Amino acid sequence: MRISLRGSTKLMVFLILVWGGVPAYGQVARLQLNNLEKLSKKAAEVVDVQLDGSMLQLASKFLSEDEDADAAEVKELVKDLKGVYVKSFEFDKEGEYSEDDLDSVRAQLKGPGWSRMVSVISKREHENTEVYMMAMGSGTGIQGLAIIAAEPKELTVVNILGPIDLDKLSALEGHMGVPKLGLEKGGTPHKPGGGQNEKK
Amino acid sequence: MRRSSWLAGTLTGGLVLLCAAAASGRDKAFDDIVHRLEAHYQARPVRFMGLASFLSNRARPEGVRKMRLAVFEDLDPSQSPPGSDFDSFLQDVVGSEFKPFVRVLSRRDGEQTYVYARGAGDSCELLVVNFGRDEASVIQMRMKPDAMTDWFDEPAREARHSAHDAEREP
Repeated sequence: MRISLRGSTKLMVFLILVWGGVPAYGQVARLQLNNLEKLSKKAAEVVDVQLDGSMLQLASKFLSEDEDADAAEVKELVKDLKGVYVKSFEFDKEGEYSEDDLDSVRAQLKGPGWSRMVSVISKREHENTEVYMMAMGSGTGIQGLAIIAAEPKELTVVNILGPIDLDKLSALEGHMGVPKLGLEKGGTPHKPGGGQNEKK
Repeated sequence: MRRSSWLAGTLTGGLVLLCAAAASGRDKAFDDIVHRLEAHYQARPVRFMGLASFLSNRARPEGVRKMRLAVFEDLDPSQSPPGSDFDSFLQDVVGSEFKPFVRVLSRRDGEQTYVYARGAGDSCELLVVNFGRDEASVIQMRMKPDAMTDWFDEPAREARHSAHDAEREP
């Protein structure tokens, strides 16, 4: 069977394909963290912070009221972001979660566009912090970031959408629900007594 | 002349009715959640404060412009908070205007706190639902802009504090 399309129809089909194939800016870097919900039953404390683009705009508006330099830096950082999502679990004892629980998150981070920037494993402290980024289609700039911070009794996953300057990422710690992860400039996690530092 | 004043009166009346309808629509979420908790716990709130009751600065927590509050106390501790469908119930009730902001579940303290937020002019409106071991509260707060800085800095801490502050006797 031969299907012939007129020029305008071809253009429409092309546009639909292109439009459908390009997810909204930043959304492609959004991680599905629902699978972590099962940990809520075992965790002593669960914190779930969700700030989408409109909430961040709101946050940016209120931060401008503040006059200290720290707030100004956070405001600058936040104004272009499309989302900040944080899930944090605290357990009463070790071994309440396993690597398998993180499989669904890691599987997404193995998907196209994501690359692991850095992973710091502190054997002494039994801590592991991984930072992943998704580059813009053009190759310059970042459209999303993911941080997995795993400790024996604590697990935190942070997903940031939108352009972010890695040198300023640490400024976000302690704000917008992002816990203090000990990040240094460039998004490198700093762990005192770190045993192994693998950079990709 | 008479006709124009009749028209002006009708328009003003219509506007007032529209505003009242919009206001009652806005507060419907608060009322629906309170009713759901009443049905779940088979209890009435021991304190119920509407906006009018909160004209006194003394009674209003710091950083809050307006507030509605319903506090349930002496609940049966064996009766757990509404189940897993409560999350979706809340989202249905608050509608798309309110966004989920922060959720804190503490098994240690036996507490669950859900916070939804929406922009409200130059400020922000928060809807907080908190369950303790034997108490629960629903709070709708219109915040002062500067108070929101703390909320965006440490949402989990503020969620815990706001519920405790509001539940305290004024």
